[in-house]
Amino acid sequence: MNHQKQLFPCGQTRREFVWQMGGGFAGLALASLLDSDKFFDKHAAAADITNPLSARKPHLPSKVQSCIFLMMNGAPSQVDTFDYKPALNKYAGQPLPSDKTYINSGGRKVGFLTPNFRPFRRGGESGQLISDYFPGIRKHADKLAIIKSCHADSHAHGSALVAMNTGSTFIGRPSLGSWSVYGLGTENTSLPGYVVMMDKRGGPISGQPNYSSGFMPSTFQGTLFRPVGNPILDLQGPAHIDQKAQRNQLDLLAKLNDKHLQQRPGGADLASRIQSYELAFRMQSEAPEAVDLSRESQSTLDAYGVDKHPTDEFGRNCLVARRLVQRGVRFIQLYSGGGHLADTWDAHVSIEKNHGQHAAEIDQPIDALLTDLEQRGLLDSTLIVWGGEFGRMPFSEGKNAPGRNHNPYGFTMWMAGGGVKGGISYGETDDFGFEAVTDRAHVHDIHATILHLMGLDHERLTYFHQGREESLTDVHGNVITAICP
Amino acid sequence: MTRRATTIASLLLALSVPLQAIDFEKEIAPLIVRRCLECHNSIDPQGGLDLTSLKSAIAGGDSESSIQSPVEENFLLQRITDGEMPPAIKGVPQPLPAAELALLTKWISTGADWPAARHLDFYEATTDSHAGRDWWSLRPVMNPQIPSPTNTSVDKATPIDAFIAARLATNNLTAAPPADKRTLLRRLYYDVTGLPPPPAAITAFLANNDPTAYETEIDKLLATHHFGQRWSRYWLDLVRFADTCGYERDQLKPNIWKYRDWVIDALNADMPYDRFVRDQLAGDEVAYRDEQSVIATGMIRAGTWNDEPNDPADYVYTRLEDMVHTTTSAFLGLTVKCARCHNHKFDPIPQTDYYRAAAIFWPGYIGQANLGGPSTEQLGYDVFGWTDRNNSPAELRLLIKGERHRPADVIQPGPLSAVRVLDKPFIPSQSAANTTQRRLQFANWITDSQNPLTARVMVNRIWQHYLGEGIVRTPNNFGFKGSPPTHPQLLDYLASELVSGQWKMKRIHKLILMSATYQQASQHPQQSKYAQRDFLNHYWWRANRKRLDAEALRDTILNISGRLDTKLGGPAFYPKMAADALEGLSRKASAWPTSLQPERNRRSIYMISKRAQLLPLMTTFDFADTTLPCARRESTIVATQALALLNNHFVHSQSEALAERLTTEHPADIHAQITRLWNLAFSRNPTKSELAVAESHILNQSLHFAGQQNADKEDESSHSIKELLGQIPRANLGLWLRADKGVQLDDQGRVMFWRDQAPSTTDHLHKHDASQATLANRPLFQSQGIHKNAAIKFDGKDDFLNLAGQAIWKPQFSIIAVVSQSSTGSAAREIISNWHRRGRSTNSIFLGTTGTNKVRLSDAFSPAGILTEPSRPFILTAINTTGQASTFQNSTLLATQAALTPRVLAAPYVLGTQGNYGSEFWQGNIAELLVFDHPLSKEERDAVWSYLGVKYQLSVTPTRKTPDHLALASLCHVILNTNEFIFID
Repeated sequence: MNHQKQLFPCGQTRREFVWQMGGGFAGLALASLLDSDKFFDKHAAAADITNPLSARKPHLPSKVQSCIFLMMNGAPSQVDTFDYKPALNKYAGQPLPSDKTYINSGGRKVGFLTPNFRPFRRGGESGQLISDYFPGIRKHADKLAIIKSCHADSHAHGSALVAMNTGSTFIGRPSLGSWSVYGLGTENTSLPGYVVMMDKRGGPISGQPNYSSGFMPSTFQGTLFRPVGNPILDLQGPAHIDQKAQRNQLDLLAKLNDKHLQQRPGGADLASRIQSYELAFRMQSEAPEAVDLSRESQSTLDAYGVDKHPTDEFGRNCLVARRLVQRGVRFIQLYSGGGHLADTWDAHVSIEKNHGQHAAEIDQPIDALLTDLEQRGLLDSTLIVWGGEFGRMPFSEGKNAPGRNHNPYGFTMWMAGGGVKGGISYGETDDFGFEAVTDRAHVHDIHATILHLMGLDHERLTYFHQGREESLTDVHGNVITAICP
Repeated sequence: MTRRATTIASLLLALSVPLQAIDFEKEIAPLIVRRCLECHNSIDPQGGLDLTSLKSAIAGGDSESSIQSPVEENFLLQRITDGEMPPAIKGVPQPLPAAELALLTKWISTGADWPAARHLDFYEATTDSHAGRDWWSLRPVMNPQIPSPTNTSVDKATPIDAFIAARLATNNLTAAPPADKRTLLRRLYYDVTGLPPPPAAITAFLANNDPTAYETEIDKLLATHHFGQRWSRYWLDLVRFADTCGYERDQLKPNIWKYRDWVIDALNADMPYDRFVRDQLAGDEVAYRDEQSVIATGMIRAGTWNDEPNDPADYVYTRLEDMVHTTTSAFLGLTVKCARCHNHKFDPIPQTDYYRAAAIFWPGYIGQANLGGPSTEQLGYDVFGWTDRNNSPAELRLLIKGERHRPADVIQPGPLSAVRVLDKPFIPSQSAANTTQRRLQFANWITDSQNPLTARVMVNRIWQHYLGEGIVRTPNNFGFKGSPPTHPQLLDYLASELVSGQWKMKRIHKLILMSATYQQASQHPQQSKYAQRDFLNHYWWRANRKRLDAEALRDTILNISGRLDTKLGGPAFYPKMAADALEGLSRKASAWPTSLQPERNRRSIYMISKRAQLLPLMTTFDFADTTLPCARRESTIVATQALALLNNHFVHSQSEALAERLTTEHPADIHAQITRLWNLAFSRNPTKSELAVAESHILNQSLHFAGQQNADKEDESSHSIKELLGQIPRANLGLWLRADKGVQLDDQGRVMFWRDQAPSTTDHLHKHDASQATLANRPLFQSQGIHKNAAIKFDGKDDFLNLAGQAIWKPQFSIIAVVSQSSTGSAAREIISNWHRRGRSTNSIFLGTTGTNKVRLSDAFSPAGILTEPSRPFILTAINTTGQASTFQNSTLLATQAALTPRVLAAPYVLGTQGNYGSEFWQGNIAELLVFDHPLSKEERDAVWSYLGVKYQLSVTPTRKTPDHLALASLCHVILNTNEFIFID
């Protein structure tokens, strides 16, 4: 049944209607999620119901159904991973030239230019150079568009993480996942449209604002998802409320609510809340099923490194991410690294020790994820994004020290799948890998590109709030067309 | 050139504009204002071209082409005919309409006459694309004529109803009939207090036929402290209040709770709104400055604060924006912050106005010290407030495009220029003053009775919270992009009443509550017909049904379960947060010091709002985002809310508490229990059929749960022991000795060492291992001491153990011991003690038994109950709260009295004897001993007892866990999930 005609009374445009509801979908019996089983065909008085999570057409043609953002919390070093700088060998032991200015984050010790800690080798037919921290990812070099000219606005984790997630260094704005789900809805309303899986060691610095929906309704916020058991909060009550006991409860609830609705004809808000219980009931079984890896073959589990040290956790998360992609979840963010310092990619003390550990945790799982998606024909419809909140300095943190300090001036991210042109590099840092110099890509440009690949125009994807059309990229952002199909 | 000139000439001809003189004022000025001045103004003229005066228009900007050049060579006109001006927006051309182009051409061809004194201003008048200073909300508030009633059927019509009726009539609508008394009282209670009416209040109200009964209820409720607890939340949302700073460290703002309490108290005391505004903006500058008025300035620094901004110099401007935005949106309903980088595109707020407002806050402590504000020393009180550094601050310059590196003119502090009658510069403060008095002057400008915004904005907020929508439905935007008022005269009437009533707000509350419009039913006999015509209820032909918000929902659940802690004020409490929900924090459990009971059951207004981690139950139900001012929360209906109400631990535990309340109030009477439940939750009796389905639900669930429990019994109990073990509260468990773990024996099987199993999670705790170095004093280990479980046997002669450290370290504590006695004689005997002959012979702490089975909890509580069946093993529990001390045998209360008089808690402690007395030895077994540094809640006690009961096969079946009890709780739980519970008609 086509509800379109009914949606906006008084001949208003959708924008006017939504706006008059208070600048959002407020009061609209939000997320009534009624389309799927024609609820209102059964219950009379179908007033104005629109579902903010129902799948919507993109602005632009795009095959991408889902995005998996592999968030390298703590900031990996570009010159040790994807941005090979042979000149560092030549300048090793010398200071960064004095005309290169920067903020010394945290007032830490400043040492001398230090070459990559592990060798780089060529991968794939494209021969892209990727270091020995990532031998597994290197196998997919032909799938990767490596953006080597990223730059960000903050040298502090707290602000930079929030910026990588929301476009602003200040908390309070909707995150990339929220914008995606706001723009596109989601294919499976029995699961959250925007899922975040944390590292067990902790969440990102600044917490919730990293996956918040800011001024948008909370419907669009990221849902924390655990890769085992009950993945989301409140899926299961106390032990004695088993399925039968709950069915008894829901039957009584339905009786009482039906009677209540009968006495209040036209109560669209009441009807949509009744429906939300049926959906919740389905979520109780579908969400645990989504993380139930018992149906996966042993070879799949082995490929992702499940049950093996040190790949178990990230391997599970990657495998669950693939299962979520299969189930139509729109935006999935996986954190590698959590909490602070050594528990993240924040390699102040030692690149080799820190990146050695974290890369070993994620290299095989990401290798498996890319292979698996490709084999299942899902890679074209799944955009993979890899990167941290900024990069690291080409010089050591202290004389002859093996660590590196924060660097927002130049760093590397890569994308794969989702139609991204593989086997290419985009942009360059200077000879030292210090600062993006060619085809500079700001965080806003990264965001514009991700939205573009998902079929959303970052300038048209706006949300009216407090007198202003807000967008993820504000008045900035250019799509990096060179990597787009 | 010639070609273009020809085009223009032919255009002129084609349109055949009458060749009369052109009226600049009427025809040209509006055109220039509307089409050109957004960019070609005097602040930041694009292309250098300033079209605000004849002089600058002749100068012609960078191209130096005068507006008065002949048509053929008029460069400005050419830019228009070329389609370059007005510029395209996002690639879409914006050509000047042909008629306007013709008019302009003709004006130029006739010499572009422009009176020299006439200065154009982008904001001088409203156009179809932006508001001018004549915008409706900037015009003076007019106390309007009250329309004569057209509908005499409303016998209690108030002026409000006259305004509403007039518009209903013109739209051929009628108001809904009045809501029935029950519905009305329930609505009134929720709207005023955020809590449901007690059933007795409903009964009394129904029985009261006095025509003033409803008014009496209004007066009563507005006078309760619940009113402030409810309405303060709306204000806190507006000023983006939270208890922490946000960002990486998310520091607690010390004493910010005093500001929250100030708001509650101010509303309860009916502080006039002008003073309410003045104290928050300038409580440190007012003549009556005192601790309370300085607390009020906490509003200014209640926002987010980043201790590690990327660029501290830039961050200063970000904080200014936060202050300007919060105050101008909360007090004035304008989006002034849009003018930080450029003139406001839609409202008459030039960029200079933004900097006038910013200059008001500029002299403050906007640095990086003291969580971004003045210290308590600088304030003179132990509060979290605001003040200026001194009275002669540095100048503030306007920043081109808001960029710090592009400073322009110095801007003096001042009011918004849009209110012409009040547009006067601020007076520099007296040299003797400590502050600049800028905020005080700003506050005085806001609360000037001639300021057209202040009262309108505030009465609109009050209306919104009662009626569900504002008269202006964009409560924080009274500008061009906001919604116009549905009832402008009503808005002005209420605004006039606020000002003429000395800004007292409760009067406005009452005016609205007394209106028939507020009191009408939420269903209309013509519901479906009317909904077609006015779906959004713009004309108020019915009451809007409202979903309980997060606070009202949680508070109601606690209220009807009987567990609401009504303590007022003070620091925020930390609710219990599921471990899974803490996953998102970079510092996990350490960042969440869960409060104890009953603190956790306080009203939601007192719940900590930690910016990095809000309680999921609250955010699921649309708790406001705490980073930006929020004037109107969303009211969503989503499946995760259903999940929360179906499964959340809090909701289940309160359902059980509610069931307990029902059984306590109406023992063994299911009908009475169900009836009571309906009255508590719905403010009405159940119908016959409801009674039947409820009873049948209890019956079915009870059978089902009984079946479960039988099945459980057949299970190997070790499984359930493990589960029960997991439920023992670990927080602040400081001592945990269990005979089945950590015991080291000497070669005679006597206990040398007994390791403390308590998790040492908090700094102040340390291990309290028990030991005995002297051979002769060692107690004997029994592998099957109590019902096949290990225990330590004390011989009653000289066996005892020394405890390391101070085993009881807080005056409020819980001690739980599993023991048996082999003698029940008259001699005193102790389980744990720190009695010492020197200095604490009367004020030590110990737990033991004596005489004819009496229990003693120190000398201050003796006897502390009489044991039943003293020769069988039992669990002995002693709890001391700030209010009372209690003892329990198994799960049965033995005795209770006032809290212990102060005890000396110092070490050393011993097990099995009375301190250093060498006497009062325990004779019997001690199998397990737990000490907590807080009074356990009932729920926590039950968890420990259940574990110990199953393990030692002791009878501790808490009554509430019977199948009948769980079944009643299941019914309560269903009721908490119903639409009738969560929606207010």
